[in-house]
Amino acid sequence: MATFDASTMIAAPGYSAAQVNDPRTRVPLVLGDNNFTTVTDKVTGLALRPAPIGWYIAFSVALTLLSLLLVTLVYLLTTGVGVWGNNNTISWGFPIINFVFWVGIGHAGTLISAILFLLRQNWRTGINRFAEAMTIFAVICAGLFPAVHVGRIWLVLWLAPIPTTQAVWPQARSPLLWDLFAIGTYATVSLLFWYMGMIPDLATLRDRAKNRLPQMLYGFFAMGWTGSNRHWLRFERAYLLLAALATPLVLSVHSVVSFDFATSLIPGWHSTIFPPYFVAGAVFGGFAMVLTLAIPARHWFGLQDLITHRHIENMSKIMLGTGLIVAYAYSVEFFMAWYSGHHYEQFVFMNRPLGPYWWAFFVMVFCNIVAPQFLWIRKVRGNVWLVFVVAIFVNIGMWFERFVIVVTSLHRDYLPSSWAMFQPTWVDLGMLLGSFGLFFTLFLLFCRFLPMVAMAEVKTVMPQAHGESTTHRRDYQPDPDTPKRLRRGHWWT
Amino acid sequence: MSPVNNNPTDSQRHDARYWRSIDALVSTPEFIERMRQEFPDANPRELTQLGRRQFTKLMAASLALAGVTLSGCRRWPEQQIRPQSSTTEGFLPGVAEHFATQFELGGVATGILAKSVDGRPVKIEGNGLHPFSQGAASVFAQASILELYDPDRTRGYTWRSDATAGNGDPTDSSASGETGRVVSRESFESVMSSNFAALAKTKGRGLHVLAQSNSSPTFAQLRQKFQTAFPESRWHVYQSLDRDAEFAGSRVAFGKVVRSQYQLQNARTIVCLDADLLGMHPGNLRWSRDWAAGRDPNSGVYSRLWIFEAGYSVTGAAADVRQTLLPTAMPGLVRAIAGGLGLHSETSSLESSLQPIVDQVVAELKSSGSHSLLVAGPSQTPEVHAWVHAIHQHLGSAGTTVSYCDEPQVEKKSCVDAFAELSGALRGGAVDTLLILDGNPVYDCPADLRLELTGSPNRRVTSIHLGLYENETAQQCTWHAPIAHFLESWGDGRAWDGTYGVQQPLIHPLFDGISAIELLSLATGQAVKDGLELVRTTAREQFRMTDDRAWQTLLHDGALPDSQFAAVTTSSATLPTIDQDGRQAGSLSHDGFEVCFVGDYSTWDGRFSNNGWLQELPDPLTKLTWDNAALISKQDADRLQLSNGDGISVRLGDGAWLPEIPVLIQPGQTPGAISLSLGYGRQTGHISSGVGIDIGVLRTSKNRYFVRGAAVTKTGKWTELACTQEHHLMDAVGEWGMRVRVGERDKPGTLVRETTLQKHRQDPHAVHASFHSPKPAPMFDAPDQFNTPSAWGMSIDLNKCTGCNGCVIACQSENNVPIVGKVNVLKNREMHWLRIDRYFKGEVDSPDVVHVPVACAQCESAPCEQVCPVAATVHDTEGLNAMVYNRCVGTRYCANNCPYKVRRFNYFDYHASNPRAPAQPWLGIPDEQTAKIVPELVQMGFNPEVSVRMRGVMEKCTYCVQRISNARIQARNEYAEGKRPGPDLADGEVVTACQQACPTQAIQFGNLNDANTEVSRSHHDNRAYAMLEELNIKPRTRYLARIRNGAGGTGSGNERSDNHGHI
Repeated sequence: MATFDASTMIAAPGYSAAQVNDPRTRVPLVLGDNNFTTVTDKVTGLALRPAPIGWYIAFSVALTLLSLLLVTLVYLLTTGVGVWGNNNTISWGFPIINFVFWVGIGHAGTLISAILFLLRQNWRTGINRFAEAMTIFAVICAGLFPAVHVGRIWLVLWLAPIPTTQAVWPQARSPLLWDLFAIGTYATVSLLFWYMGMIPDLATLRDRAKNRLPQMLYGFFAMGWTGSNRHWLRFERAYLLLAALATPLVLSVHSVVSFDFATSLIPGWHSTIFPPYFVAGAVFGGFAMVLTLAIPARHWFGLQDLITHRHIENMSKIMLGTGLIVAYAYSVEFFMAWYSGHHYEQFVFMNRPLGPYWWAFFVMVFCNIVAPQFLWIRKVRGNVWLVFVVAIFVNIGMWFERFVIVVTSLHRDYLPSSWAMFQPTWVDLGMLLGSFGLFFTLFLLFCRFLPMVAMAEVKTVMPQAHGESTTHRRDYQPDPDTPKRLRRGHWWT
Repeated sequence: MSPVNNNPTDSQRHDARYWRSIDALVSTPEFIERMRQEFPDANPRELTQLGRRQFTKLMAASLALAGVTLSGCRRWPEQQIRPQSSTTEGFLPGVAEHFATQFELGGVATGILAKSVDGRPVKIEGNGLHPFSQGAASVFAQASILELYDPDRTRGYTWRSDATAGNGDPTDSSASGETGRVVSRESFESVMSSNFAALAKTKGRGLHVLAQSNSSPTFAQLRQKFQTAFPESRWHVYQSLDRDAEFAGSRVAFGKVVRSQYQLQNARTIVCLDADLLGMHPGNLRWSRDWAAGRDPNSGVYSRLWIFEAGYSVTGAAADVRQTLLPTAMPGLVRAIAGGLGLHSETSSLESSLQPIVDQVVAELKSSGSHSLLVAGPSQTPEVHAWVHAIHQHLGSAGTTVSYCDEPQVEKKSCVDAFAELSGALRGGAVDTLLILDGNPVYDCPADLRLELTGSPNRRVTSIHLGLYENETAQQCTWHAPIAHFLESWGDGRAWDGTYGVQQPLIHPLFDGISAIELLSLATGQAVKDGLELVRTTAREQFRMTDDRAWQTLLHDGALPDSQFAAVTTSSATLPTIDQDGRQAGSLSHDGFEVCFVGDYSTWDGRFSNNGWLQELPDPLTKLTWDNAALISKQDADRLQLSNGDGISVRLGDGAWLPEIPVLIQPGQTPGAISLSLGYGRQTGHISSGVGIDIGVLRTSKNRYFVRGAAVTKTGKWTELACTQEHHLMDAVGEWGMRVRVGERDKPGTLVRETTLQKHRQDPHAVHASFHSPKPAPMFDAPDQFNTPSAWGMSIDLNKCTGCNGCVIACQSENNVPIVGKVNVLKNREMHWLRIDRYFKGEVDSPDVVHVPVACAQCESAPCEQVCPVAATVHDTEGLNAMVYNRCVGTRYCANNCPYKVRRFNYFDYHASNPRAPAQPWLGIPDEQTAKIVPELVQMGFNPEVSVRMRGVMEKCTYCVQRISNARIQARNEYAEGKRPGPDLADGEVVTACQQACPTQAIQFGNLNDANTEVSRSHHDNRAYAMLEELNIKPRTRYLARIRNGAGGTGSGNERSDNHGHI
């Protein structure tokens, strides 16, 4: 058959499509002619060999954007938060939109590493490391915005429960304070989880490093890991405990973030559906961002064997599922507005699709509801670059979702005399772009210097870990994206 | 140093009869040694004996104290303390004093109180003891405090060689080529003395004086003396917003000029003919008070206000029936009314569509009889005024709703004629010396008459301008002298009803200015040059203030009781001859537009245009700030395909041309009429220059207030207009949302409740319709009732509010509210703590207007407090939603969660920013910015009782908590002194700034614990409702619904026909 048929590709000869996911005959998670050594070579090679020129180009772009962030921050600090487009009616603008956007992104990492770990979803091993890294960096970007969005940035520490001479404690009824704790906890646990999971790999890097400085640095952070049984025993127990600790956080953080809106009395914000809706939206947006990063990364760094097409497809399915939850939440909001008989509520939901911000609403609907529906089609899921396009749409849509929530709810609330429009300034746009600069700078540094794939974990799911032979694997699952040169050594070559 | 030293010396000590302590008496050597030490217990060797560990511990502890707590390293703004070794009478540092004084505008004085703190006037309030204004204060009077501290004020006596090379060089006439040389007041006075002495020898030939209308008896007396000293001099009186037609109409009717005094509280039918009785009229404060007094829906009598006007005015917004009418159609309308009443038998030439409303007016005037009142505006023709007088006489209103007194402002010549004469004299070279006593004639003169101050080449004019600012006129004059502000100088004046009052200074002239009376006395070579002596002499001679005590009482009260102008009886009114020409003209009104020139609610005639508070004060109807615009009806705008901000050019038949002005579509504007407001497009002043468009180019000596036959063309240019409401055009969804909230015409909405008088009388709850909010079930017991010892509450009567903005400026002045400039108004960042929401209801051609003042309602269950993470906004025990500025970090969450959107955020350090330019970065410590950048002069105007907020801080109304605090301290002191039975505050002891300024007393404030306070009664009125009560936020401010008294009782019907008055 000349045309590409995903079903035939996925179901290997001799296997029916149903058998592919049969645990007894399930295809391995690591493809290609790989053994423990090649996996280690591939992953450590990125960190220990000179970086490719492409990395430098990407890094310089990211740095440029980061410096835009710094410039706008200095301008903001010296001049006042009026450099943004915020006004009396729309007191929160881009900074809070960006904050919620980035926090949402940060959800997928911990979901992959904690919940999927507890659910024994072994396919997570290929992607968990950089999904976790993405989480950390997204939370850093998210944390930046609430800190600088306040009017007197130099006093932001008053939000923290620290004893000062004023003898005033933070006001515990404020969701902003809950945010501080929720995000603080989330960032701490995610960082610990990420770092702890990386220790065996850092030790590998330490052992493979040729130069003194990397040896010392990797050595320092590897904390004397030797790979002894005792180390592994404790490591795995601690990892399990941390995963259990992190799991509720996946649900709590964005729930708490949603309280910023849900506990207020602004129509369009004051809604009990917000916590589950925000969590689903966060997972949705987070997986979109993992895909956005993973698809080019596996391509550029040659990690197709480790991050296989199956990973992409699984993530697509999660994205589709959470996207449907989000779509359901959108429609329930409209239903509730109608059902409430509350004029102000009804007005907000009429104003979203028909008011002056109708375009933002429809961008959101198209990107978050329409675009993911293409993932029902196996052909689309089978083409990573189409998945990539959908993921990009979802990223845009999720940003617009926050724009719609923040701006369209505020811009026409109770008193028509105060109705206003929001006009972002160059500083608003600069800081949004700049936050991507910060994110990508950190992410590129991570790609360059840290193990992008959890080598130790990946090895546990390889057939070799279960005493199987490395040659003549009849269970090979050809990945549509696997380049020809990597298909060497299989039963059909 | 006292001459006798009584201090005991050592030798005397043992014999001393007085001693301070046993030790002093004993004075052992040990004691003396101990006394010598600053720290007796300190061991100087302790430091040197410190071990390393002890030293390190101490250092670490001090560092920790200084640094870790972040309190030790903080640099606080530097402050200076100045000793007050000899104080003035009654002066207590930091305690405000009030002085009664007067504010003069348009030839009418208004009694005011100026509040002074530590020698600085900081606030203007109404004078409750004044018999005429009765405690209200206009926006202009209140905003004059900002004018006093305006950095743009002229700071010295300037002599200019390039303006005119006339005589009068202060030092050396050969020194030329230098512009704007500043000389001292002494040099100015000596030059002026010698100049005027020389002029006296020639009997003042060639000496002209240009003055404005002025009610001051002292000024009038000095003018007489001046004209005696210079018999051949000419005195011209000119003001831009003249009342010439009014005077002429009175002459037609009575043969003499009378001033009408209205008794609106007695009127059952009030008909305004292009008259902004409650807005721009000089007596508006009193008329508003009386109008409101005649509109108590719970009493049997309720007046009905009709208005016929071209553009929407404050009075139009308050009116029960408003009919749009072209200004040229007014004579026809009045004739029709007069004809209907049987004053004449001419056939009516009125357009048939207007006949029903005329019939209604006539019927009502007949039934009201002597309780009718008609008022014609100064813009209308003499004929209209004459008809009004005749109708009053016919109905017998004189004595009931109107009385007359002689008009003190009348001159032999009308303003325009006087100005024309001066202009002709200047052109003809008949002027040697021109003394301009305040004003800006170069800017506001008629377009066809120029003030050629440079004179002809062979004849030089010495022009002397006295004014607050170096304005357009000053720049062309040889001399410019700073006038002493009214808060800096002595003066006197008479209110509209003639009540005599004294203007007393509160502060030494900041820039050594000279008052007009002082300059006149100097010019006439009088021995008395001091303003106080001049005013006292007048008081002594004209008002028999011979004894010092009476004078002191006058100064204290600010007004002399029973000094009103004597009422005059008028002869029977002569009916005006029907101006056939006018009737002819009326029928031609379809050719082009009629352009109306109106005084501006913010700048008057341009004299207040450098006042930032007023520039940023939203117009009561258009809500426009920082601009003027051509107000145009929707119908005309659609026809010309214009939308808000589109530029038009206006060309008149006589060739006058206004090249560019943006339009603003004004609902209720008469189709075919364009309203242009005066006072913009100034060329001088940091605030005023270049703001808006100078429309004076269209306003000639013949067409003072309106002109027919204007051709309007779209220019294609677009200007962004900064309105504080409706920043963008409304779409269908928005209109749907608004309709429910504001309500259909004559019906209540969720936010704005109103009904008609008839419905209200049938059902006192009609104002609420179906919007009674369910009693919300509380989720938990309220932890506090917030009522100890008082429960503060406010009520705002929408039935009384005219939207005059008095409260807005009062609040701005009281609370140090900054202005933000057009750039930030466009971004919807205006800072007014109290704003007046204006909503239109009904059809766009003839809508109703409702004004709703909105400030923080001090919700008991405040949504803002729950969301503040740092507890910067909290409740006090009396129900105030307090704002702790120093604690605020600026998350703005409170503003988001405020359903009224009354919280205001300092996006920049607005006090330290130039309102005309974007905010600049500040590299210093942020909270020092205000102290370091704001000029000390401007800082003097701040109310020291209210924090000046820095950038990044949220702010809002707190029911003038500082006033509550002051009253409480006063009450407690009086209680401690045994002067009152308890420390509790009585009703009326705390008056908020907005409440105080309100001319109609629409705002009530007080203690809700006491059922007998005004505010408690208002809260239990059947019209009372709390906006957004259904949110269970328990606001402490309640509104009283508006009751409209539309014709026929239904309030809607044929009186609001779509016609627009073509005859």
